[in-house]
Amino acid sequence: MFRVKSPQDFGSAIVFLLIGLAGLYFGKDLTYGTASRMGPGYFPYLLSWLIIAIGVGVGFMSLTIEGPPIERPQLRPIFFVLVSVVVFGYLMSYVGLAITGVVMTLIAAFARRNFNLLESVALGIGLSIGCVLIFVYGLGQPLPAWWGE
Amino acid sequence: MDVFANLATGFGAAGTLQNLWFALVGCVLGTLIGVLPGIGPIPTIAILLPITYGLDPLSSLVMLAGIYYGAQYGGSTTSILVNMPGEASSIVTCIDGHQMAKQGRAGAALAVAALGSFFAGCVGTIFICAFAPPLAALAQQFNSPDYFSLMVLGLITAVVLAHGSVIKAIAMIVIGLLFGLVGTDVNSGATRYTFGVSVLWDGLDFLPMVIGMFGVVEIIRNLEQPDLHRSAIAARFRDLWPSMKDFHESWRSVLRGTGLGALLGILPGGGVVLASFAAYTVEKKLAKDPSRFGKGAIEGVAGPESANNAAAQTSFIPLLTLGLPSNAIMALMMGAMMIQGIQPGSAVMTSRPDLFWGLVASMWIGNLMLVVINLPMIGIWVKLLSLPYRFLYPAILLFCVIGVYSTNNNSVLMVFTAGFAVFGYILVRLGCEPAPMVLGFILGPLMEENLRRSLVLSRGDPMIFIQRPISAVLLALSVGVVALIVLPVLRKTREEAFQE
Repeated sequence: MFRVKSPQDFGSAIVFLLIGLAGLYFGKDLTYGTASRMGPGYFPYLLSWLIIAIGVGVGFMSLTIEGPPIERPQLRPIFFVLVSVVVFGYLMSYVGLAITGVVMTLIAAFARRNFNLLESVALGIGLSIGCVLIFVYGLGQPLPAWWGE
Repeated sequence: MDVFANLATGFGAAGTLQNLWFALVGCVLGTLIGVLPGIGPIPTIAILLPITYGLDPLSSLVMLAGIYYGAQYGGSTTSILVNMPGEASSIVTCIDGHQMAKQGRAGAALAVAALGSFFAGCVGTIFICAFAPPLAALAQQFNSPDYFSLMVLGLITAVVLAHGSVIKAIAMIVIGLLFGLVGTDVNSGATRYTFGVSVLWDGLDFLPMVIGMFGVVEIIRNLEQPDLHRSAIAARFRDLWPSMKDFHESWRSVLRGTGLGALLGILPGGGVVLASFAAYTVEKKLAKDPSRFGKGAIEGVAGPESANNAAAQTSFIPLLTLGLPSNAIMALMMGAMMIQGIQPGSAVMTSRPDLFWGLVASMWIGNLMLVVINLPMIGIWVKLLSLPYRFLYPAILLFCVIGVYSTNNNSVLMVFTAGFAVFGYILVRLGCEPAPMVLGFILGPLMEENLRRSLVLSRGDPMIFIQRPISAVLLALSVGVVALIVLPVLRKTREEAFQE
């Protein structure tokens, strides 16, 4: 029977195959052309097939060669860090950098287990002031500092 | 001598008040991120890219380069005082550097690291002056097929010399090449993989990718670790002077490290990490009494620290002469140049001599600044080290997102950033190194264009890559490099070298 000997390689093979197949599927309407007149689809197809081939190869390797297991991901840091990134983009266009910075710092602070409200609020306000001063007023980046800008 | 006239041009361009200021900013920032564990030069350069849009090309390159080699100086401080590498290139410095610090010789270790780096940086700059013009002259004879083969060689060498699984790294490069094709095809006008999202028409912006995959993933991974108690060994400026004995024991290591680093830096994929590991191995092999290593041998600090800084300088050579980035940092520098409307390659030296020689001169000036920044100001950096990570990571995260957001104030980019962070996290968990993907991403459109032109020239015959002599040699070298890795003997040495 098949037995996965290297979970990391097996997982990589699946990722490679998915990307290669997606490359072929989403590129199916692109003109392939000929070698002497390459169409927009020529190089993407070539690369997609190459990724699939490597995926198959790595897949076989994962069944024959022993390898390290996949470490269990911790969801807490992943979740809060990613939410803070997306929320930042959403809030920026409404309330500007000063308030967004504080909110983002608070969300990001939840990524750690020992959340301390007072400390995080203080840090958020400090970072926000610093970033507004550096990026908006100091470097003149085209960022809204406040709402309605 | 031509070189002196050129260097004079360079110092003239780099010596303006504005460029000196940006060199200083780059060096201070580089030292800062080098000292702080948890943020490396890749996300830092990415974060600062939007700020450089408004600068003139030389100022922005001077600053970004300063961050890269500045990080090599700063990284050693953390390694020696805390036994935790501030940068990947300073991992080996921990071994003997921290032992020296424990024995009360922190000052000597820091001083040797900084002075060795300074010497290496100066030699690295001379290396660029000596090797860049002939390489650029050679590159001017290159035609499309030659460029295509050169990129193949560069990418393959980059993979073989990097650590981790070779086959997975090749897959990462190919995935990067594919991602690089997103957007409007310049030849046909057809849009590829844009899914109707208008921001993708101009191609996938590389900031969300780089910041997501390196900056954000790094933060998540650090948060997964339990809180580390970092205790720094105190160091004061007046303790910094190494004894005559220290000088006597380390000058040969500095020379060897510099030479090795300068050579390894030129190779695609070589870069700073490989240079420092190789230098440590060499020092240990050559030592009369190898058992001293791991117990505070000054050679184990002098060699690797000189090597990583020499490599940081010379890794600019392939980018500036051939237009070939040798590692992810150089890929970012290439991106920075292209945003400024400069196509990196042999033409830079002739069309923009002020830019090329100005950058070279700024490296020498920057290295001088770094000695001053690192030695007398050591107390400040030690204080920064005691800053807990819970204060640090929200700041890093905030800088990351501001960097991405300020490219075009579009919140879609933040969703991309989060998406790439997830992708990068999965890759790291699966043992795939994401850095080669950046190389592929930058080179994707160039490779396609050169493949297309080659095949037009040959009317579709792929034999053109073997018929043209330059291309044939480059491809033969690529095959040779692959063969090296397949041969068991050499594979074993490679594994050993990375295990140390």
